Amino acid sequence: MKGKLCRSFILAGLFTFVALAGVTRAATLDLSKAAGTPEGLIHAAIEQGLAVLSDKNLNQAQRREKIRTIMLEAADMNQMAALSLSKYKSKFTPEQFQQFTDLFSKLVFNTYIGHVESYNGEPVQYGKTQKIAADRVRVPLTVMTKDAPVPGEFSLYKKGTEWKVYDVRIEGISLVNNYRSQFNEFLVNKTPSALIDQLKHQVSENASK
Amino acid sequence: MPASKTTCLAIALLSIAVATTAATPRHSSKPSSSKRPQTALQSEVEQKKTETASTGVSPNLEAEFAAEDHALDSSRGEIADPLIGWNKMWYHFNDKTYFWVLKPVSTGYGKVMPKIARAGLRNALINLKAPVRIINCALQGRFSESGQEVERFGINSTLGVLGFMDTATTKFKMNYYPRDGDQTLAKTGAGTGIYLVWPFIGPSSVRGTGGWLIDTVTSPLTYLPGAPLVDNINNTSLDPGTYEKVKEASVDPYVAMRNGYVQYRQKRAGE
Repeated sequence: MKGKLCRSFILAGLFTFVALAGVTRAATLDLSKAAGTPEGLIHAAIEQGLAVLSDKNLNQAQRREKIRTIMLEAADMNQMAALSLSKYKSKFTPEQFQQFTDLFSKLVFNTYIGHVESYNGEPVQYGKTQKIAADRVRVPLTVMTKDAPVPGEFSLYKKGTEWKVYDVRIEGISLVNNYRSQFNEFLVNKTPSALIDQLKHQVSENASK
Repeated sequence: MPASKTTCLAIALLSIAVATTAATPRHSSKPSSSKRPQTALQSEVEQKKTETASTGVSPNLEAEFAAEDHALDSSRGEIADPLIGWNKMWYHFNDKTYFWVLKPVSTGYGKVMPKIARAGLRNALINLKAPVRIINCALQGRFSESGQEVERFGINSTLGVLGFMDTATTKFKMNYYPRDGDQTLAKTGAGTGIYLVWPFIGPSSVRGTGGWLIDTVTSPLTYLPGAPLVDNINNTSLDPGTYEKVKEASVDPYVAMRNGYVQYRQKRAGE
């Protein structure tokens, strides 16, 4: 059970970054075109992500930097951070929130980048896009790993003219919901600056590994 | 890791004791509310430099998203945890057991056993656990799936050389139906009950404990001395570092595991 659960978490990360990493190329080519439809963004993301991951001309630092830059473009990290904080967001000053968003992105990125880099060309199957509301959809997809198909979903919303990812779910586990449960528990009796300090600490620990 | 006999007994007794109180009302999904005002998003300007931008997030977005997106509904992933002290004790116990025992043992094992042998063994053990799937599919009224699992077992046990190869999937393109005891109990309408963490087993709930019991009783591995332990070591060796990553990504690993367990089970129960 534990193993299965952990695997889901990891795959959530893998999912996010394989897909978001993908937009690296799309971004340099024409991200806005790809982002015109949710499927466009996700499909371009995956295809291009694989291209970046298999680009032997890039060294590790270059590849990671590309992936990171693009993650910040394809996903609306402000939105993900706000949804993760939920009602406690109002306790944050705009500066604190920005700092939090930045650290939150780094935490998720640092944790999963290694797994993304070990992605080994597992085929991806797309499902039918589900409309949640006028400007929100879910794009389901399945990564066909050697063990078993792993179903997941990206949640996207329309921000202006472009679609942006605001959540990712693997095997039913929503990344935003999972972080929200942790942040809410933390902020019940601790301050936003304590949370920022904790994230700083974790980010620097992960980086030193 | 296998639970010791004492643990099994304790769980059996407990699950009987709580079985009658297990049916807590399940969370009913909220009706979707009115359309979100368009202005909240349309007025936003594309911001790529997060360092310099203002937050750009409408204060109402959270509620509006949650109304139609059950993953963002705050009751999603939540579970009563009145035994948090007890649960945290076992959480720490399992954590230490992982780092002090399971991890070194599975790492050593992974060094001496070739990966292909470990992958084959994993297939064989999954195949041996076919009765768990066959019985749970049947109990859930999924008789066609139950029959397909019987067929898979036949194919893999023979053509797949005692299950070391998953021939049913690779050659016959058959589906796999990993139905479990928790889903079976969920089908009867039983609520999740409170959160429970068990030594060696990890996150569970009252219903999850009952489901675990069904799966354990119907699993042939239970009756082969040492088999569940081998299963666990073998699986860990094929998936190294995963638990560590989950911990690193978490601000509060206990809460992260609890929420992840509940979200995962909520999804499975709805299948």
